[in-house]
Parts: sequence; structure tokens; C-alpha cells
Amino acid sequence: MASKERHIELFDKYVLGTITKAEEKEMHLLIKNNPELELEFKTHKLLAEGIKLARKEELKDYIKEHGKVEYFQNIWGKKWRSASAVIVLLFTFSFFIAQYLSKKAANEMTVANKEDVLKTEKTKEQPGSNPIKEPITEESDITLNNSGNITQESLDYKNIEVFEDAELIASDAMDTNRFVVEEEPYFKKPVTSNKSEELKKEYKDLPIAEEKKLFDTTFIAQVYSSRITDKKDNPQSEAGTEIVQSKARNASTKNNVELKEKESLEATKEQMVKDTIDAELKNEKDLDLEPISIFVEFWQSPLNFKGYQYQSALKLYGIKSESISIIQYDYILYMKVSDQYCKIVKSKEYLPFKFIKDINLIQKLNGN
Amino acid sequence: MLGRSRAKDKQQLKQIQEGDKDALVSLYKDCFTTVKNLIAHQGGSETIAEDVMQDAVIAVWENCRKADFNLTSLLTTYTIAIAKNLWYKEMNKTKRMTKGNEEPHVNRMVFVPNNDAPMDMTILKDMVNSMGNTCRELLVLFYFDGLDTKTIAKKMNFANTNTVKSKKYQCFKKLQEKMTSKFNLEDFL
Repeated sequence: MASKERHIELFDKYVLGTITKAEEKEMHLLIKNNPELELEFKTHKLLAEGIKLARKEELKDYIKEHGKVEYFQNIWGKKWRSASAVIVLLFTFSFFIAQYLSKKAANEMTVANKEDVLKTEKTKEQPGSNPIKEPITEESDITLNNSGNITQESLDYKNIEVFEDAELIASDAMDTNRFVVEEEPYFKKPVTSNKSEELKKEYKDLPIAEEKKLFDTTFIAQVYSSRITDKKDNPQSEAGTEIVQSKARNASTKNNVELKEKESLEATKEQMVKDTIDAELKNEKDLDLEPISIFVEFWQSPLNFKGYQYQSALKLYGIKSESISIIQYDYILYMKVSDQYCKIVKSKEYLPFKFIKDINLIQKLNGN
Repeated sequence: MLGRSRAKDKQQLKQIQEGDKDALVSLYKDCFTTVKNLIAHQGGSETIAEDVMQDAVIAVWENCRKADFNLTSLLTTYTIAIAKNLWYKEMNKTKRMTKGNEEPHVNRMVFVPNNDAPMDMTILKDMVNSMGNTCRELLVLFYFDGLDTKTIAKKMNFANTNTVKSKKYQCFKKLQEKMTSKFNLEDFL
């Protein structure tokens, strides 16, 4: 029994790897001389391996069950926290840098634009350069006085055509060289700008080339009608149609016309009334052909604009008072300027003179 | 793994030596990412990495219980080194197996589990598992964990070492009978 125990002890030590060399030698001798013991040893070894394998499998299963690695388990670890802090800092820093740079660039642009405006004004002041009406403002309650400030009155003729990019140009610190001013039509539509207030401020102290009102007077228009012209055969009615002669121009003045002219105007008026009554008596149909008195103002434009604006009064630009007469034909006003006729249309806009080329109409206006 | 202290290493080693399975799992988790990256870099899959790591920590479990075990590096370094060796061993084995083929590409490598034992060993394993818990635990503690009879007596609440010895003998005899009743020894050799 004791020897059997010894055998098992030796086998266990051998399987566990704790056997000494002497014990190993002893065991080999025993196995060599006893085949049954050898078989027993092999069985022992095999069973021990089976036990080890069972334990390994058990441990593997345990690890598989509990050893699943979660990669984000340490998301609040030191490393992650430091990395996220660095990223946040970098973003914040770059944001402030970008903001600072953009502000700086905007300031530089504003300064440059102001310099441009000043340069432009300087070039405007130089003699020989074409004067441009300034300031350009939207049609509103803005006023400009003679000292260069904006007045309501002057706004009436400060309508400059501004194309689609007007707002852009206006906002671009008013680089006036960029404005496109067309000669015809000169004052097509009023300038519109969203920054009128800013422009008012900007241009408040700048010198302005203004228009000059030369003088004003009242004209009595010759009145014709196509109906009457058709009745040309009747000398009486024809005589009645011509109510006032063009000589009646300059009949009265507000500023400069002398007393003589006033007297002559009164005389003309009396004559006109007399003739009218006669005409009425002769032909009742021509009762609506009453003389028209038109208040005419003569203006000089710094841009040498030639044209007119006709609302309550007729404003004439670039034309001399001596050379004109006014005729109404078929309720349309015509202005005769040295043998040429141009149509006068009521409009807020400033229109150029458009001379008539229709020979028939010209003949009729001439009284033929 | 960064900043892993020696103190933690010692504690973990001690826990493993005492048979704490959770310490083994912790070691597995600590080393898995490194080993997985290494294996993935050389064409292995995550499943292969898992098998290699399991074998590696079990090897650590076995080795650290030996009397002459002396750890000179970090436990993780030691475990990773074992895993590397296991992986290279398997790679060489696979290369040898695929030598006859025209395309021994590394991506086609398949990890063959470390089943040096013949297939019949699984029958033996099942026989061990079918034993009663006390016998099974006693045999495992003795033959796998290499604990001495004194420690086993203490762990399993046996009266003394002699009880452990006689109990162990009985259990072993029982297993032997089970095997010989169904199989011959030659079947396993």
C-alpha cells in the first residue's frame, strides 16, 4: 500500500512538474521494470491532462463572459478630458482670432473708403472738371440751402438716374466717380438710397454746385384747335382763334420786368378778352379755346442741361427767353424755339427738348 | 496601461495566485487592445486576438502559481509577451500548413486553437465536468492550480491534509474507473 502511495506521489509530482531529478530517476526505474506501473503512469498523466483541460475551458468561458472590452468605458478618463479641453481651447482661440481679424479688416476698409471720398471731392473742386450735382439723395423731405446744405426745393432737380447697383455704390462710401449720369434723359428718376440719412450727414459739409434761377415770367399761349383749323375757310372764325400773339411774352415779370412791359401785357390782355368775346359771339363751339397763361422760370444748370420740367410752372433749362413762344394746339402745349417746335408735357421728371419733325403739324402750328 | 503602477501589478498578481478569476479578467482587459492591434496589424482578426489573449492569461494563471515564478517586468508586459509568442507560434503553424498552397497570404490565416491534445481529450474533459463538484474542484485545485494539500484543505474546509489526500485519491480513482469502463488507454494514446 505504501509503495502504491509512493507511486502516485511520484506521478503527481511528475505531472505538476515539481519532481526532483532523483525522484525522476527513481520513477523511471520503477516504470522500466514494471509494465503495469507504466500503464498506470500513462493513465495518470492522461487524466491529469483531462483535468487541466477542463479547468482551462472553464476559465476561458469565464473570461469570454466577463472580459468584453468596452472601448469608451474610460471616456471621462484623464486622457479624454485633457484632449477635449485642448480641442475646446483651440476652437475658442481660433474663433476670437477670426473675429479680431475680420473687425480689423472692416475698419481698414472704412478708412480707405473715406479717403477715396475725400480724394473724389478734391478732384471735383479742381477747375475745368465737370461739375456733378451733389448730394444725391432720395426724394424725401431733405433740404439744401445755398450754403451747401440740403434744401427741399433743390431736391426737385436732383434726380439722377441710378441703375441697379445704386444701392451698392451708395453704400460703398459714395465713390461718386462710379455714378453714371446720362445726359438724355438727364433726370429720369429720383435717386433712391436706403442710406439717405448717412449720405445727408456725409455730404452736409461738402461744397455743392447748384442750379441758378435766372428769372421768371408769365407767357400767354397761343391756342389753336384742329376743329378751328378745319374751318379755315371762315376768315372770321380763324381770326377768332388767334387770341394772343407771341409778342405778349415777357408781359409781366416778378423780378426784373419793367413797368412798360406790364402795361403792354395789360393791353394785350384787354385785347385778348375783347377778341375772345367776339369769337364767342361768332362761334359758340370755340368757347373752350381760352388763352392760357403759363408761369415760366428760366434756369441755368451747372451741367448745361437743356430741357424742361412742367408741373405748376414751366422750368426751362439752357434756353434764352427772347427766342421762345408758347402755343397750345389741340390742348397740347408746344414751345417754339427759333422756327422749331417742341412738345411740352406735364411731368415731374426733367425732360429734354424733343423737336417735332412732323411737317403737317409744324405747318398747322405756324398757322398755315 | 499607461501609468500602471507596480503596486497594482503586485496586487493583481497576488489575486491571480489566490485563484481570483476577476483579477484574470482584469488583466485580460488591460492587455487586449494592444494584442488585438498587434494581431490586426499582421492580418489577424479580433476573434483570433480573443483566443490568443485567453490562452495567454491562462498561461499567466498557470505560471504565476509555480514556486520558481519571479516577475521582473510589469504583469501586462509579461502577458503581452506571452500573447505575442502564442500568436507567432500559431502564425508559423499556419504558414507550415499553407505551405503547399500557392497563396500563403497572411489574411487567410486562421487561428487553430491550441489543441495539442488529441480529440479524445475532450471526452476526458467532459468526464471531469460530469463529476461531482467537490471531486472536480479538488482535482482541479490540485492538478491545474498546483495548490498543495494544506492550502486545499483550508480552501475546501477539509479537516487536514490526509483527508485531502484520501479524498483526492478516491476522486482520481473514480475518474479512472469512468474512463476505463468506456475506453481503453490505447484509445487516447
